Amino acid sequence: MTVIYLTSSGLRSLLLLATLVFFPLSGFAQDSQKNDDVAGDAAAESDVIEQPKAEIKVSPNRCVTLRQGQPCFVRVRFNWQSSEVVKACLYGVEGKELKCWQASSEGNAYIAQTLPNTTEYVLINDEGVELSRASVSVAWVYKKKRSKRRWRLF
Amino acid sequence: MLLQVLLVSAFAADISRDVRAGREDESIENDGYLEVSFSAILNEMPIPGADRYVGTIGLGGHYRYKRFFIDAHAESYNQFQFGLNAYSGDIWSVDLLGASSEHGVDSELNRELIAFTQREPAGYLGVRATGYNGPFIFQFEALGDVSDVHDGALLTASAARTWLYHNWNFHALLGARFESAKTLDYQFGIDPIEATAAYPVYEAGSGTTFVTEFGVTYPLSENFILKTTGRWWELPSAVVGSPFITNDSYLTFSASITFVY
Repeated sequence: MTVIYLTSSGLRSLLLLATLVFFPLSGFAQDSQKNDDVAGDAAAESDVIEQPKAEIKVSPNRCVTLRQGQPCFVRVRFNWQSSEVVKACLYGVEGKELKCWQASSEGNAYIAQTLPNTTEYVLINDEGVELSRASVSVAWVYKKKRSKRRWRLF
Repeated sequence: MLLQVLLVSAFAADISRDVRAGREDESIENDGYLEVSFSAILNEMPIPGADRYVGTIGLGGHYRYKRFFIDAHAESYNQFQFGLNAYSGDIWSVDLLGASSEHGVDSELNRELIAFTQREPAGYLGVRATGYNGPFIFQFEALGDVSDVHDGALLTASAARTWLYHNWNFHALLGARFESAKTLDYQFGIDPIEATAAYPVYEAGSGTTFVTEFGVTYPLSENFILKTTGRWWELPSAVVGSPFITNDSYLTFSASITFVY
C-alpha cells in the first residue's frame, strides 16, 4: 500500500494548482454549456419559424367497452388546422396511415376505428415532423377477465 | 308497477351474469360491484290474469373477498347466492354454493292465486362448475334444499355463446333444469287443505324446464349499460298439469337500463 504524506507547504501548492487547473476548466465548461444553449435556442427558434403550428381535435375522445380488454369500436371525427399550408398525414393505431392531405391548412375526417386500448393520433408533415397529436381513451364497465393464475382449494 | 322475479326469470345467476360481464378475475382478492336496473318487460305468461306489461326495479351486486363471494343478481334464478371458489383453472372454475331461491309463480302475478303461489324461499347447498372456452361458457349446477322447505333438488346444465360486434355484446344461451318431484310439487302442487272447486288438488312430479335465451348488452357509459333479453321457456309436463298453469311454454322480452357502480 502506498501512503502519500503532504506537508503544509505542499498542501498550499496543491490547492493553488487545483485552483488554476479546475476553475478555468469549470468556467470553460459553463461557457461551453452556455454556448450550446445559445446554439440550441437558435436552432429551436429556427424550428419554430420553419414548423407551422397545428392543432388536431378528436371527437369523441373516449370509447367505452362492456369489459376491460375488449376492442372498442368508435367512429372518430378528426379536425385539424395549421398556420400554414402543409402536406400532412394522419396516423393512428400501430402507426397506420389513416388519411393524407396534399396541400392544406385544415382538414377533417370521419373514420371508423377499432381501438385495442387508448390510442394516440398523430398528424405528421411530409418531412416527418409531428405537427400535433390527440388521443382517444378506452374505458370499460366491468373489469378485466381473469388472469392466468391458477389455484385450487383441495 | 313494481314486480319481482316472475315464474322463473333467468336460468342460473352466474352464467346469466358471465355472458354479459365476462369471467370474473378470481385472482383479485377484493372486488365487486353494485347494480340498479330499471326494466320494462313484456310477458306472455301461462298464468291466468297475469299482466302482459310490467316494470321492475332490480337491485343486485357481486362481492368477492379472496375465495368467498356473495351474489345477488336481478336476472338470476337463485335470487341470492354465496359460496367459496374451490378451484380455478384456465378453463374450469368450481364453486361450493349456497343459495336462497323462491321459485315457482310470483304471487304478484295474480292475487287470486296467492294461496297457491305464495311459497317460502328455500335454502340450497350444492356445487357449481363453470367452463370458459373462448366465447363459450358451460355451467353445471347441483343444489339440494337444506332448509326443510321441500327437501327437493335441482340439477342445471347451461351453455352460452357470446359475440361482439361494434361494442354490442350478443349472447345466446340454452339451458335445462331438472327439478325433483318435491321441488315442483311445492311450487305448483295444490294440497287438499288449499284446494277449491276451481283449483282442485294437484300433485306435481319431477320434470325438466328448457330455456332458450338471446340477449344484447351495450355500454352506454362507464356506469350505465343497456340490456335487452328475449327468453322462450318450455315447462315440464308435470307443471303444465297444475290448475293455475295454462300453457306449456311462455315468452318474455325485457329491456333495461342498469347502473353499475
